Amino acid sequence: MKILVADDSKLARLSLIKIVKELEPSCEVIEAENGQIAVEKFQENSPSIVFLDLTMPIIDGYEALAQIIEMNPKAQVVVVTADIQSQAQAQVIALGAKMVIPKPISSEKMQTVLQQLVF
Amino acid sequence: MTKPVDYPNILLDALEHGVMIVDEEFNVVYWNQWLEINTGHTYASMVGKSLLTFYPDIDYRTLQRKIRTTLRLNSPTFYDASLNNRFIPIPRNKITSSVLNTMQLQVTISPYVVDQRMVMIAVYDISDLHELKLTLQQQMKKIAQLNVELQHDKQIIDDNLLIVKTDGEFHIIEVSKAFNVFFGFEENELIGWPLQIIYSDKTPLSEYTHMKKTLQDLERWSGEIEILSKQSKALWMDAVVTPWIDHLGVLSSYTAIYHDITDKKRLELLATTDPLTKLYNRYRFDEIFDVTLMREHWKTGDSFALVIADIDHFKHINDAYGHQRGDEVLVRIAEVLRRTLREGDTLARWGGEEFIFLLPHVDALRAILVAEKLRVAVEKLSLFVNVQLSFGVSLFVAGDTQETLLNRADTALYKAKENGRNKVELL
Amino acid sequence: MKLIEFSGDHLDVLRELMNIAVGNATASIADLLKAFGTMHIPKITISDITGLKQYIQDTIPSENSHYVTKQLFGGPLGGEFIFVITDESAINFGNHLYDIDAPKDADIYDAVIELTNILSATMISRLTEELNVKVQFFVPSTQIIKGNNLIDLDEAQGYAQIIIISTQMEFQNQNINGHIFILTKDAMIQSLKDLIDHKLEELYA
Repeated sequence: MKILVADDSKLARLSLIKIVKELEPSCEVIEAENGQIAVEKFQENSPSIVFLDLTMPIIDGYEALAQIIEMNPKAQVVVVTADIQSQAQAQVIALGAKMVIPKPISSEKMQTVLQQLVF
Repeated sequence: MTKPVDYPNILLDALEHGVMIVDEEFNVVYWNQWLEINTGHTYASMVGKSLLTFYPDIDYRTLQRKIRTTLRLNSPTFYDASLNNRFIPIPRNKITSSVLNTMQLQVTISPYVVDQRMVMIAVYDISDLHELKLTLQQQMKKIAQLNVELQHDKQIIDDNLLIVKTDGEFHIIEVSKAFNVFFGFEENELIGWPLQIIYSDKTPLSEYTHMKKTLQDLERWSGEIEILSKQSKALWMDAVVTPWIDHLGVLSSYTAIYHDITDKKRLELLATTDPLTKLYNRYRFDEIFDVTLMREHWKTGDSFALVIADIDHFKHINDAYGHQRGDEVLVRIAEVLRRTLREGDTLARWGGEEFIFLLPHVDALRAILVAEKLRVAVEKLSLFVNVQLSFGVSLFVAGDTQETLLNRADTALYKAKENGRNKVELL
Repeated sequence: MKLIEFSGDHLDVLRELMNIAVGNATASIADLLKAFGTMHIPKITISDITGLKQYIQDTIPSENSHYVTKQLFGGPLGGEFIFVITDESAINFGNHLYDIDAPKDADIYDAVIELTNILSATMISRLTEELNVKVQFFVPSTQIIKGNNLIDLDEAQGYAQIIIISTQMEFQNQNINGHIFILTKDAMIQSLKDLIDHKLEELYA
């Protein structure tokens, strides 16, 4: 299983990766620190899940989400965000994200994500 | 219902502030001793009842919202302590100040048992602090008011008085607006320059020396000096210079206030009398000298003499005894000279320490004799100090002008000084 | 005064944690107002007193009158939480909260204190939770200040090292805007750094 983790914060990426590895040790992880690299890596690697932060430099999460969905309408994008207002979440789902998870991601939440999107 | 007596309760009752525990509906679960004493309501009467029963007038909507926020966030909330009481009114017993009748309270609402929707409300009496704050605010208002008045007065001074402020080395640090306007300078044009640059060179060096010495003795100096405007117009000013000493007793600055006496000087000039000695002044003497020179017919054997007399070591007298004494000397000398002169002779005050005479109908010998008589009369004067005059004499000969006569007399005077003073010399 | 080195990694962690804290705070107020708020990414600067004064002047416009609430927090991590809101915004917030057309001065003060309470409690608690410490909150105090001279420190104290975390709270439709500054200085910066190191250790463990 391949996943792409896109976030400009190293802490955010490492925390998320740690949790995924605990649940799926064999998972391959690709990292991206801005929206542009995220889109490039998505194209190169076709990961099964994309974990996307919304506030990134160069190209932000919204734009990256749009480009990824355009490349592959079936892409499974999980937006991981600090903005936990329900209105914000609804906006992102409307743009094509499969799920919205609040930061920091917990082990339980990650399990739900993996169950829903992978298995 | 009586209060349990156990350690937590003993502790809560020992506190110097109020502690109550209430739920979301304002039902009292706990009421500590401080509250009992200060509100007059006992534990027994409060517990189990709603706060509304005893305090119907407080803003319960706000209180409820605060309680809910505390429970929701699991974090304390507060009432703003600077406003008039928004929580329960607790009477204050202080008689000697009238500002607060009920306690100014600091109220903290903390989560107690969150799932039972109970919070702890702590109240602290900060009345004294609040009173201090109010007093401080009042004082600040007063100060602000005084400042406004002060600024106003400062403005009036700046607009109307000719003032220059210098540092301890006489470098200009501040100039009033009126001064700049009067003399035609730009706002900061004079800052940094030595005070001397505005003075004309007509002001004698002795005046400066005296000024500096008086000021160095940390005394106020006053005198007359001539100031040059931007356009180099010379104006006579009455000057008062005051040294300022800071709180450590160290000289910090000088302030000079000037007053325009151009008109006064003009009048003085027009007047014919020297105010101090009451002798003719220079202006008048010039007139007489002119007449003497032009109108009369002089010949050898019947000529006239010009005599200039200078007080020996007059500066020393001034320095040693002060200006007032110095003036006394001038007056006494003037008197004796006047008495000793013949009918028809002219006597005038020529300068600070100089006298000038016209002696008509004399020859050289006669002139010297008269001068000598004057010299002795002054020498014999009994004053607090011995005074002597040196004399320079010039006799009119055909072709002489005012200038040539003055020059010769001056040179003769110089010679008299050179030859030991208290002398008469003729050229 | 030795300057405490705050590395790029430390800043990254702090930024990310503050991000989460601000998200929580915005959602909290959104709940209260039943409105939608724009989340602003917090900015982190390390400076001194002079820098702080300048920063505040650059951030807060000088034309308005502001309610300025300051609240201290203390414990293993301590600092000052400052909330600045224009009187116009404060009145709008008061309106929204109280449903009264003309809230009195006291009502507005209350509303501002309440808002500050919620913001500080949410943000600082979230931050300290992630760092595994507990802090205590002190009584906040509010004053009205004309312009943007929010702090009165004289130049003599100019050598403290200060971390300035600043963000905005914005509810456009309700016309409610406020600025938030979280400040820590000197020894507390070291504490913060140590706590972040701990967090990073956990991660790499």
